[in-house]
Amino acid sequence: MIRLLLLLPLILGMASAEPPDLLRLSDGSLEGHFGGITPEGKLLWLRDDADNGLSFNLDRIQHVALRGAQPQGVTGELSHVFLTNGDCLPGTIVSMDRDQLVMESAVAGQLTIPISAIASLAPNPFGGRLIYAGPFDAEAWEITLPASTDPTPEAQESKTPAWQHSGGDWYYHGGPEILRRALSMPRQSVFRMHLDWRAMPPVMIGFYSDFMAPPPLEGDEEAQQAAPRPDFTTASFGNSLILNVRGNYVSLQRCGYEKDGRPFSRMIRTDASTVQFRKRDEAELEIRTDLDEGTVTLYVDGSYMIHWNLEEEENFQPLGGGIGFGVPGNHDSLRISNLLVAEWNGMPDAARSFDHADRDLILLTNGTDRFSGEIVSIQDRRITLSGPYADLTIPLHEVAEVHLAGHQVEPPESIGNGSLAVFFQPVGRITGKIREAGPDHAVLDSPLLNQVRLDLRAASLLEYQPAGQFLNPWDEP
Amino acid sequence: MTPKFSSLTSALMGLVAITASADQILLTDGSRLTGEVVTLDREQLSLRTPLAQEDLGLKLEGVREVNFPPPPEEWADQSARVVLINGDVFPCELKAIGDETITVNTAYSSPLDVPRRLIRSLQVGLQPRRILYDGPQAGEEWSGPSAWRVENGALISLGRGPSAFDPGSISSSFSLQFQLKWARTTNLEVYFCSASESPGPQKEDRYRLQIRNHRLRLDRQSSRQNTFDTLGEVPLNPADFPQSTFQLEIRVDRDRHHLKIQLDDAEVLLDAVDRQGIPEGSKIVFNSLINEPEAMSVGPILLRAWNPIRDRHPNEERGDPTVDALIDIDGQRFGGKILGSQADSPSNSVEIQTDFSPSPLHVPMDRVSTLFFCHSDEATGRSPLLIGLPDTGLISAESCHFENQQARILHPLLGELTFRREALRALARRQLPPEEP
Repeated sequence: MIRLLLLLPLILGMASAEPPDLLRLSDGSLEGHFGGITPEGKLLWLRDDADNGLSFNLDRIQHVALRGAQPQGVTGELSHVFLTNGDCLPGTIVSMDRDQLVMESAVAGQLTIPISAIASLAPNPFGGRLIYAGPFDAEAWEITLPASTDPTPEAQESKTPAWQHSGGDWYYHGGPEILRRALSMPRQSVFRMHLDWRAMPPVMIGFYSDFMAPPPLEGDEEAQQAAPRPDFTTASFGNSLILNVRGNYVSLQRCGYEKDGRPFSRMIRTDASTVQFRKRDEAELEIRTDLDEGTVTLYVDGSYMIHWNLEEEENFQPLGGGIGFGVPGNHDSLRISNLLVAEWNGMPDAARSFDHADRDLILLTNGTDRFSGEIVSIQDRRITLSGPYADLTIPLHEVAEVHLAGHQVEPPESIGNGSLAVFFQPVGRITGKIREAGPDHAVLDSPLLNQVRLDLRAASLLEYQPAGQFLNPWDEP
Repeated sequence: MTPKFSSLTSALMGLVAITASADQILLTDGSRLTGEVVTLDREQLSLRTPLAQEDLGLKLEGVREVNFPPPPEEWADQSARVVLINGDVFPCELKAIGDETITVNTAYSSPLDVPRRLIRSLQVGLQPRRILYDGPQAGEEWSGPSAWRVENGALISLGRGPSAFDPGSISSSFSLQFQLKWARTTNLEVYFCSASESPGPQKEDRYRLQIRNHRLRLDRQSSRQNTFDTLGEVPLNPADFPQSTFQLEIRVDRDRHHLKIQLDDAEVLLDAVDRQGIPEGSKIVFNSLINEPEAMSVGPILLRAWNPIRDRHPNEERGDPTVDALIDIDGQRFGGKILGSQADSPSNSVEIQTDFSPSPLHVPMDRVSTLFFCHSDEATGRSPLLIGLPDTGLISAESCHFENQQARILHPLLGELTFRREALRALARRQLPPEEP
């Protein structure tokens, strides 16, 4: 504590050039700068108007968003290792044998991890460039009414927007507004998201959206009144693809404007319309789109579900590159987290439906080939697999994912109990009991990694409250 | 979701019972002729009939389909299936894989060499699916004798009411196949994966398939809920079934909680996932909702074990077309160069050289599921005629000439093929897009 206070003027001086941190307490929030955590469990909060800083008990703290969730030193590391407790360690795999894995992490240094703690490895997880990972902040997101919706007095007077950003998540608590963000989705893309709900509301997920506003109406008043108006989806997302999720029914919609400005909206036909969620209150959706081939494929919780073929539509305006969400006519809560948009190599990835109870699995980056057997080692950037027909030696750069047999991810019920979760950009989460922290580092006692020192310059969020607090009242508007 | 019922594929792929010994020609105006088809080409069909002194020449544009007498049953259940780059499906027995060609056998032709570059996929190791039930037969224990009777391998409805059968525990994935015929209209409920023999909305875990005149609907009945949860619904158009019959196949994938309903072996009507999981019950219940007697018949009924994994592999994306690929029965997929195989050699394995092993992998033939061969982007080879073969085979043809119980078929990719005449199940015209100038 004394050391931290001595450094305080220096910290404030350095911090003045970067966005402030945000401390969210159980009863409010406070801007300032994260000063660290003492071994006694006090969080130090630095502000210009508090000479000696402020000190908070950890049990009052929900989370700290660092530098407006704009990390100083984004690692760019997409390669990561998933632990059985749900943690995700960003870093490069150095070696592995039957007992342990060694990785070099820009945020945690060299880590030695017992194999029993590892669920999977992802040396090349997306097969392409990462376009967006978040939402670590609300920056560049827009909460807006659909273009054709006249703001009603009620909507104008509403003090609480339908969407609220908190931690690394977006929360929907009812309201007509949509949530959207401009992006540059590539023509071959992966769009992944995690959804949690109480009672699942109908969700519209817009992608390749240009958010085009309806063209101005022409002609006299009578002609304007007779002109077709865009429906909710077109008014919300403009020229776009829309994935509609209603319970376990899913449909794909193309909406937008024809070249002459007339709005249109139509469903894309396919043979299947139902999906299977493993859990009743959460799901991971992944949309793989290849606009060149005209295909959209939906995976739910890692399993292939539905495939659509898009038709050529020369009469329609081209698609855009944004994403968005809407929950029309419903007030059931929804949480959206772990959003990711990345380039994709265009392979439909039959490998993802590959499963074997007793063998380790290797999925290659080409999206088709996959092998099973026992991972013998990783050495010199090569992975050796003892398979049923022969030993295979595969360059690590050709490996997308490795899943270890019988190692399931079983996240603890909550973080809580004095534990902290540190989130990194673009990927990464490490949990553990806090030992001490400074403005740019934290020392955790991880249940699986023992003591680990983290570089907080690439961190975006420190979360104290249990991640599953979605149903608790503290996140209510 | 809206299916496109194709009488063409129904006729070619279906198991519509054709018992006549002569060829039957259905014309586009609904007229029928019987006789012996002598020749078919792009322009006309020649028919030999005792009613005329000379062969009749029919313009092919006036012919809707031709049904031949059914081929011998033992020609079904081939262990391999070649899918050509034009989509043709050729059931066969794999004899060998060479550098440039594969060699296959059939019961109705001499061995055929098929160039590897013309093959989209080769599925091997297909076993006759283990039959769990094949009936109904007289004297069997079907419940509900007042509502149904067993006659000529079918259940005949006598009025409203159910008839149920318990084939015993079905622990694996399975396929339930049955032929439905109706007199004026159809109104049938089929309960499956049921623990009870009673139809109705009681709380019970099972499925209810409703087949009504204009629609087909699949519901999940639950022991925890009062209502049916509809898994899918599709319209039916009675005009698509001029013979008042079709065959349905219900495929239940227990591992993936997946149900698929196919029409006449070809058209996927419904594709649904049951989030609650597949119920354990094994009873099958047919429930007539029509009062009048002999309104419907159900049969033959075939219940078979089914391996959904093998079915999935041929439909996988091809991936890089410049390399071969092998998928084994565990789902492993190896890209590389398939060096060859000798199906009747003692080793009986497929050799594939991958980038990840210094020597070729030897995958035992009984571990192989599907092979892909590298191919070029050649013309797709679509022709105006489609010919149905045993075991739901389907090939294109430019022409077909019959002589001495042989059929000489001019295939757009493979050239002239000579089959025994009995191998042909049906024939239909295919509408081709107009040729570009």
